[in-house]
Amino acid sequence: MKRRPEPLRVGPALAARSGAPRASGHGAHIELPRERTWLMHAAIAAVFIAIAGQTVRLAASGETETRLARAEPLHQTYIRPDIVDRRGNLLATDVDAASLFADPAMVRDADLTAEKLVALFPELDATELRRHLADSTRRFMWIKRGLTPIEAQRAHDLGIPGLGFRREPRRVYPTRYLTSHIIGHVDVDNRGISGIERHIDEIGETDAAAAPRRSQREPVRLSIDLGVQNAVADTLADAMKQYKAQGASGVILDAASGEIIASVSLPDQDPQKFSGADDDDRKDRVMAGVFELGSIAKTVTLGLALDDLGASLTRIYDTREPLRFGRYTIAEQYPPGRPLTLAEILVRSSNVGAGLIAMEAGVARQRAFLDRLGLLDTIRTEAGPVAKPLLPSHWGSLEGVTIAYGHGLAVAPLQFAAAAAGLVNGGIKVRPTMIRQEAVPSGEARVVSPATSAAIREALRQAVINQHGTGRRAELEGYEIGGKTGTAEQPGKGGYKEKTVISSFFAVLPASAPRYVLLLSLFEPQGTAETKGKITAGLNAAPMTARLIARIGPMLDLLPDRVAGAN
Amino acid sequence: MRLARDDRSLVSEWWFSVDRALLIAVLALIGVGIVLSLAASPAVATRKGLPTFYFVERHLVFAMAGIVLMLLASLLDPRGVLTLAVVLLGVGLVLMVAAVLYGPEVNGARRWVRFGGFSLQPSELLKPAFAVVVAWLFAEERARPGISMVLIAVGLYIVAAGLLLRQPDVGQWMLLTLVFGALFFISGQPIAWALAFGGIGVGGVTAAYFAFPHVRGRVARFLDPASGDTFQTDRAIQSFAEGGFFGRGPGEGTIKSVLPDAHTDFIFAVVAEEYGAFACLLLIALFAFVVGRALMRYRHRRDPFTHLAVNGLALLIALQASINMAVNVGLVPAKGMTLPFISAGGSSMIAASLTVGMLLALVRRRADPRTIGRPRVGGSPLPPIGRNAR
Repeated sequence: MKRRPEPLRVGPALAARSGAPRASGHGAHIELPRERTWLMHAAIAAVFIAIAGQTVRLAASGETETRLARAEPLHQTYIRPDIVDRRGNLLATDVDAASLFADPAMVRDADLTAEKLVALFPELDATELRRHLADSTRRFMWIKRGLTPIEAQRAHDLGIPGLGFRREPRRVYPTRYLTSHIIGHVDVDNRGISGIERHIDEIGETDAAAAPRRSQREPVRLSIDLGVQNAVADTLADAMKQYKAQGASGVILDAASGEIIASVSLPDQDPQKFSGADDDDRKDRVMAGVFELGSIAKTVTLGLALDDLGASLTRIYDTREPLRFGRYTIAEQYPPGRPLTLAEILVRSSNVGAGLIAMEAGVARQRAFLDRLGLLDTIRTEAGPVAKPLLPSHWGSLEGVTIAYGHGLAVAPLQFAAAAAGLVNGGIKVRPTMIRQEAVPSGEARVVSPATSAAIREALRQAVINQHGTGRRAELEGYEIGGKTGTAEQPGKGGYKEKTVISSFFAVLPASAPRYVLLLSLFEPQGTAETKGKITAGLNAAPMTARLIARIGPMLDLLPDRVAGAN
Repeated sequence: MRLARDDRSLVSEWWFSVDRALLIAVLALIGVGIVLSLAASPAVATRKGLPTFYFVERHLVFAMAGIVLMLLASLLDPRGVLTLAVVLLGVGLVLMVAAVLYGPEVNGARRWVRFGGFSLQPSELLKPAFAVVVAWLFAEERARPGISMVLIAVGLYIVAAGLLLRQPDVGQWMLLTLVFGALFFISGQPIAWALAFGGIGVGGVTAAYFAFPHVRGRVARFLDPASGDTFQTDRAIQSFAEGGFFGRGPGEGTIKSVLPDAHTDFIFAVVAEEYGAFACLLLIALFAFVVGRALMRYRHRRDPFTHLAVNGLALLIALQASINMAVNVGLVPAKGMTLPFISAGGSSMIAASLTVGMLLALVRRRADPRTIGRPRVGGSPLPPIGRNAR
């Protein structure tokens, strides 16, 4: 079939191509400006060349570092520095562990996969797991994190498609039992959530990372001495058995720097059971509990008399008559039947004498003195906040008197030890710290005069070596121990319970030039044959302290005099 | 089927006059598009909770429909092309009004009309039709000075541009404006007018910058990446670096599982990551060949209408492809623009097919109007086979 050009009706431009006669006038000679067309073509070519050039440039940029896609949950983990004790023993470190995840879109059979996984890890929730695995729009879900190598191998051997491993750092604690309450915990992303671990995060010593690696940072060096810590825990555990106590605690501070050399609370937390951390019986008594510590507080009262009232150790107080406040009577436990010197008030643990000092000072001065020592502050260490002191709701002269001999003001043992360290170390305030200090921190406030401090040390030493001293059973040949006992009846329903006490001993070592202060407590000890049925601190906490010092002295570079003298 | 040169049927005529190189290049593009659809879209479909091959199946269906439409359109003669363009323009304008009035709102714009289960973006169809009609109006102006076809063309532009901005669809509007401006320029309008039009264009872009917050945001992020989230373009650019020259290998890409528009606006980056820069260069070359072939074949020889229409249509393809790729390589701010024949999307595929179909029709070897009607002595009324008459 032949086609013929049809007559054109669309317009002259098209008519031109038909060769219609009328178009011959100018239609056939229409010329468009060629230069402009060329210009446009050149522009198009330039654009294509630019794109090609940029493509090559990008490809050649060689920037091959693979950044993980953000739509996928980019797993951020944290690299932590090691934690070591003051001698460099490893307390915490990161190890490289496998974590199991699933890509639900790649899982063929969600039911079978869930079944096999639950068989391997019975703690997984089968229903939940199956539901998530069946959701094929998801591309990522954790199954279990921080697997042991054996678990990882078993999961691998299941041979299920859609499962994979990611390497993650996992925090391990080689000496978990001794230091768990200090070191604290990390969460699944290796971020510190309590204790020193949290402190490390707060001071910015961790590094965010996508994959496990060794931290390049210096280890965090604690003030704790693992050997001493172990000796304290051991001695306390023995004493708990010996005196049938419900609990025990012990803290040792460097008297000048405030470094916490050891801090033990028994019974301790089971480190495998993080959820049991709020178990009241197992809480850290050194820092997380506040207690009335009994007659140990007379050390502070002595300081008040010496420093604020200008008394000397030989000043006489008439302690023969009990103090009466309405229906309350404050009497001596061991009435000496004669007036006592200021030193004897401490040595013989005179309640009346302490009360007389408080009454002489008055509530305002007593309170100001305690405040100066830091006993009323809310303090914290790197391991976390220290329990806030519990003050009497009304602080009148009766309360002043009871506080003077150790009741009415409850503080954490650590806070008391730090305040007492300031009293005996020459009078410089001490801030307890968990981190090893290279030097004694300077610029701390003076709390009492050096003379007062020396007098307190002398009185404390007397309490141990005087034949009437309540702390005489803490005497240890070769060590110049000074100290004070405290037997605090525990508040219960309807008043104090006579048979439920905290027996404590505060020690300063050596008394003439203190390097360490110790505060050891037994909670609810019972009378034994050895203590003749008594539960006072002089009979249990004091000898326990002597036993401990005999053991840790050499570790603390304190040798018995006879050995040291032989050199 | 064998066709003889003396067979003057429609098919035979087409077969001997069509530009086979251009046809093959376009079919190659469509084929590449299908392959890349397999690479990019299953990941997107899975993420959207659709069947894995949802986009692939749709792409295949539209590719087949596109080929048929392209071949049908290429059968037309220039007058047929014009008729088709006029019809498409009318239908496109009506549907765009319908889209603005009744269309569903998607991402804050009304660009779509729905017929049962089928959605169409009429602005896609409008673009090639507009280019052809405007080309004819300018050509008429050249052929018959005095009748102000230019004014009609400007009026048409204002209507179409108004509708596009009403939707709003700033990308398509810019494309339309560039094509109109180029035709205006190369049709030989006074240079002062061309400059004036260029000024209006710049003013329009500036106005769009201030009128549409999302345009402003995109430009701001392009000029200062810190001012906002440039995740999509960052990630796209990064995939070029990661792919290197030879790519990470088919299926090894990651961008497709990350970017929501991996199968449409950012398919070029998927190609870069999985197949490498050489594959990208091949794709650029294929587009450049299609555009260049159409332009070279018809340079300045024919009547003004064909000349302008070919230039307009080729420019349309060139612009759309280059804007898309330029966004991918980070040369221009992010702009939702599909890559013709490659990106997923029915309207885009149909529109690209029609564009090329009309282009094929216009560049078919035909008798030069200036020789027809003036038969040479002893010469054939048809030009010699295998060469262009001159």
